[in-house]
Amino acid sequence: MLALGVLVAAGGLMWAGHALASSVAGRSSRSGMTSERTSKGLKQTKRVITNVSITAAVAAYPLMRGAEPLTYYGGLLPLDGRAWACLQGFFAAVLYMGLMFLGWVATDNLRFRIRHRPGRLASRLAAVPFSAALGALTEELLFRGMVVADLLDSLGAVPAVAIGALVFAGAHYLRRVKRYWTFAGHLVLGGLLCATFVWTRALWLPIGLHAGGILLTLGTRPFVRYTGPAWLVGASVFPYAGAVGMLALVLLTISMWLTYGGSL
Amino acid sequence: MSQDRKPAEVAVVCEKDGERAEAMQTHLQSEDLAGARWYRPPDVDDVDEAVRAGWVGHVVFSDLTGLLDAIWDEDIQFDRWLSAGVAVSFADSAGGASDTATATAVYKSWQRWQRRQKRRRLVAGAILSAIVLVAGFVLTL
Repeated sequence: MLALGVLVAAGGLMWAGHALASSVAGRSSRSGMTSERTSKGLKQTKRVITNVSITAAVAAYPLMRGAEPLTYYGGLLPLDGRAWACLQGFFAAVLYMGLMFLGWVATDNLRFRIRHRPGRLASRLAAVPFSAALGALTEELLFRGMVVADLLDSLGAVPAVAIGALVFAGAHYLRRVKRYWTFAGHLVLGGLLCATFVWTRALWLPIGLHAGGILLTLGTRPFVRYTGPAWLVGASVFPYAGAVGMLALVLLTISMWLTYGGSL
Repeated sequence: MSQDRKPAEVAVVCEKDGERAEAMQTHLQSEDLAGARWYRPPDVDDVDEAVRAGWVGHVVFSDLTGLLDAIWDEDIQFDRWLSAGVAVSFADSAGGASDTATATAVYKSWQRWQRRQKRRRLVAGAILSAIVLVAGFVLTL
């Protein structure tokens, strides 16, 4: 349960930092952890605070257990055959999401159109692989490498996956967001990522799955417009939140279970 | 979008450095709307958001086609604009155009949009198919 405590402390640090930044910028500190309708500078400051809080949590947890962070996380990223699972996870996520997008384009639930000027488009697209790699690595270290690994010390696999998925989904709604109905999608995604971590006892597979999903979501965002109903196709920030997306996640989970011989 | 925005401001949907910018500027000056906020046509959904938030009460397009493109693309929910009583005007209003001319303009715009949509779908389908095939190929190696 130490990891949950560290996570709560990081959340508190993040909230206090955001409130302070808002206050310094002359905005209500009650605006808390929201980045909506704030200046670019304030947004960037809040982003830095978020990243520093997460990094602090990721580094603090192994230290509190008396382990070097690099040694601890290195143990969860073994350079053996399991490292290949990263590639498999990546391409599996790309395949599933690509098929979903194809179906939606064919049925006019998704429309493609270039929104930005060439320069801006190029800079956005250039940042996508880094965002995917960094986002996946950070979240996997935090939620699977820290939270689920810690839960597994005191709980069985099923409760660890269930609680881990709940924490992962809940963490995405700590700050004020535009939509909350995507929670169920985050919960199912959390289930997939936690389960693949438990099955492989390594972070490679969840990192690959996560990175593939982020890559295609961010890579298509400058081009897509969701015209279908949200319950079916989700939202541009999270296409897995719709009914088809959640079904895809469940199928992907079964596929990973069949491949990695899960024993839940 | 800042929070200090005055209510019911005027929005202009036109490229600020495009070929129609000069005509738009002239129109805005003649209508005493020089303080209007400019949006690029691809950002017309931001105008829609501002309209629905009650920040914009008047939207100026370059011409009828600009509005129709936004409607066909479903970038705006025009029924919401109508119920909100938002005023819409055109810099090139083609004042006194006959019903036939208006119907022709609407039909041509619809036809153009359908052709464009077909092209977009073709390109999107080709790119997505390539991505899916590569992913499938790698997974079966």
